[in-house]
Amino acid sequence: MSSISMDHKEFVVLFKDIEVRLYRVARRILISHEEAQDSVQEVVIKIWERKNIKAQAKNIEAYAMTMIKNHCLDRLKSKQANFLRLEDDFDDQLDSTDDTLSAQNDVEERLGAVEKVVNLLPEKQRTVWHLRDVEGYSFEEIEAIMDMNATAVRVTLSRARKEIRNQIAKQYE
Amino acid sequence: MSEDQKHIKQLLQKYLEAKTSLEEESQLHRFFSQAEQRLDSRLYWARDLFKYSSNEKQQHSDFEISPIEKGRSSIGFYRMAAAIAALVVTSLGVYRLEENYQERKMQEAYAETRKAFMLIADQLQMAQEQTVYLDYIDQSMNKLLK
Repeated sequence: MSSISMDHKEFVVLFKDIEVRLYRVARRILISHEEAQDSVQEVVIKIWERKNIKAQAKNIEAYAMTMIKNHCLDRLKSKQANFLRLEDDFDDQLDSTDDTLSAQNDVEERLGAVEKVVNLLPEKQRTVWHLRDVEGYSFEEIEAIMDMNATAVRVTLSRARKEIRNQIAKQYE
Repeated sequence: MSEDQKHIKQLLQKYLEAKTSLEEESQLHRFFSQAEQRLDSRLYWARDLFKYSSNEKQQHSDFEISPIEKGRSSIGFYRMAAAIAALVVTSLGVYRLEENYQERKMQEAYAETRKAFMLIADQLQMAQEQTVYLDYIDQSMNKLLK
């Protein structure tokens, strides 16, 4: 395998766009801004330290995505030590999804309601949904990032979308 | 209901089954970014959802980290601090040496030297004791190994 290393400047340029997407995915998994930011920083440093990335530059984004997903999952797992905090966040969100929506609600409120519904999905559904519907990745890319087969990705995505539909529709009843 | 909305409903059905292509999904995005009036209330969820995900695509585009710059500069800072500290210590040492040579009386120098020798002697004594101790260990090890 050839390992032509890229210089720091090239790396920064290449990662400028990727970092934004890494952050959004991390934020979706971890919910918290600070934790998402830390995660991106740690993952980007790790990738930079490996240096021999130019050869794989084409796949570098999928590679970085996989790394951030794994990193965030590890964080989530270690968070189970202070499970209480997570529960609290989620309870707050649950309370407010009991709100009802109508034509009178402004756009901001409606989008806020969607965000709550999405972030209440189980972690895997939430991540797959985000990779597809926000980041617009192909199924092949999502399979690679999530380390899931094609069927599993579709089933998970379908569940996520249906659950979101049900929860939002419920608020309009 | 308009033809448009019928088509959209079919697409949404596919969307829920996760069978839409990226192109079909951007059709949905386009449709719901315009449609606001006279929308079937059964499509409200989709309007909200597609607005939300379109919105999210634009979010945090100002996000920026330069961890490597930061990493470098902090290492640079520590290096600089260490260098300055070393310089200060060295110059203090040189200054005191000068003082010793020029101002201290011979007797004082003698006393210092004597003290130093005493210290070294102490250390030697301690080292010797340690060696004796080592011998003990050696002996017990031999016993154990036998």
